Amino acid sequence: MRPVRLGLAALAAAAATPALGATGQSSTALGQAQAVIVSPIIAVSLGDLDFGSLTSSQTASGTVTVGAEGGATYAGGAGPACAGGGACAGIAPARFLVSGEAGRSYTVSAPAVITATGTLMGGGSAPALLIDALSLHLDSHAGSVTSMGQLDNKGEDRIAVGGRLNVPAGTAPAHYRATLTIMVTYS
Amino acid sequence: MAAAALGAVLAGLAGPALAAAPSVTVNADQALRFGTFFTDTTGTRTVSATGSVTGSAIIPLTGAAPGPAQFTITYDRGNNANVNYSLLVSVLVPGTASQVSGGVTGTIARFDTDLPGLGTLLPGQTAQFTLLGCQRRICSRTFRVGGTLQVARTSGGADLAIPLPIVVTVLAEL
Repeated sequence: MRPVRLGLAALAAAAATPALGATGQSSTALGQAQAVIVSPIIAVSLGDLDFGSLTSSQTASGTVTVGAEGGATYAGGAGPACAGGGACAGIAPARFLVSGEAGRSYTVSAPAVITATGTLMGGGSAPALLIDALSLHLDSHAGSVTSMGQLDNKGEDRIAVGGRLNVPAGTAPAHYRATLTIMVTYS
Repeated sequence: MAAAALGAVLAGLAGPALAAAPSVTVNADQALRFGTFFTDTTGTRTVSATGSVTGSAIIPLTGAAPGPAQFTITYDRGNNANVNYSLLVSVLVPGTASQVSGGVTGTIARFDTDLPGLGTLLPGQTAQFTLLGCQRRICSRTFRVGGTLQVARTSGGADLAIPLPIVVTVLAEL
C-alpha cells in the first residue's frame, strides 16, 4: 500500500503543476496598415477675365461688369467701344479647369481686388484699372453662388470668375483684361 | 482495492487537465488606419496606440477615421487547473512595413503599443512583456498598435494597404 500512496501523491502533484510546454510557441497574425493618399488638386487657367473694348464719358465714371456666367453690363459713363454699340467680341469671365480626386469637395478662393491691364485702341498701354466684386461660378454648383465645389467622377470641375471694372471718367478707349490667380484646396 | 483506487485516480487525471498541449494564437482584429490626407511631396502621419493623431507636412481630409491596429493574444494552457499564472511573451514586427503604389511610397518604420511596459516597437527587434493575472485555461489580452507612416509622393495618389505581420511568442509560463 505504501508505494501506491506515494504514487498517488506524485500523480496529484503533477496534475496541479501549470503546463510548461508552451515555451517557444509562436503565432503570427497578418494585420494591415491603411492610408488614402489623395492626388493633388490643381487649377489650370483656360482664359483671362476679359472686359472687351470700352470707352468712357469725359465727365462721368462708370463700371463694366462681366458676369461669371458670361455677358457684360455697363453702368455710368462706361460703354462698349465696338461697332454698333453692341457687346464686344472677346468679353468673357476668367475660366479655370480644376483637376483632382474624383468626387472630393474643394474650396476655391479668389482675391477681392485685382488689376486689369489695358491696350489702347490705337496701340500702346492704357492705365491699369481696378477690378472688384469678383464673382464665382462653379459647374459643380451651377446656379448657386458658392466657393465650395465638388469634382466629378473624372476628377474635374470648371470655374468661371467674373468681376467689375471701375472706369474713371475720361478713360481712353481701350481693351481691358486681367489675369488672375485662384487657389483651390480640398475641404 | 489498491489497484482500483489507482485506477480511479488515473481516470481523474485523464480528464481536461491534461487534455491538450498549450497553444498560443494572435488575431488581427482591426487594421492600423492612417486615414485620408494629402501631401505635396513628403509627409508623415502618426496614429498612436492610444488613438492620438498627429501629422507633419500633410493636409488631413475627410474620410475614414484614423485609429490604431488591434490584436488579440489568446493562450490556451491546455488544462483546467485553477492556478494563477503569468506569461512572458515576446512581440515582433518582422520588418519595415512599406508599399509602393504608383508615385506614392508609404513606409512605417516605427510602431508603438499599449502593451504593459512596452512603448516603441521597432521592426526586427523583439520586445517582451509579462501578461499577468491569468488564471483560467484560456488567457487573452487585446492590445493596440500605432505607428508613423512616412509618405513620399512624386505623382498622383494611392490607396495604401500595407501588410503588417505581428509574431507573438510565449517564452515562459510563470
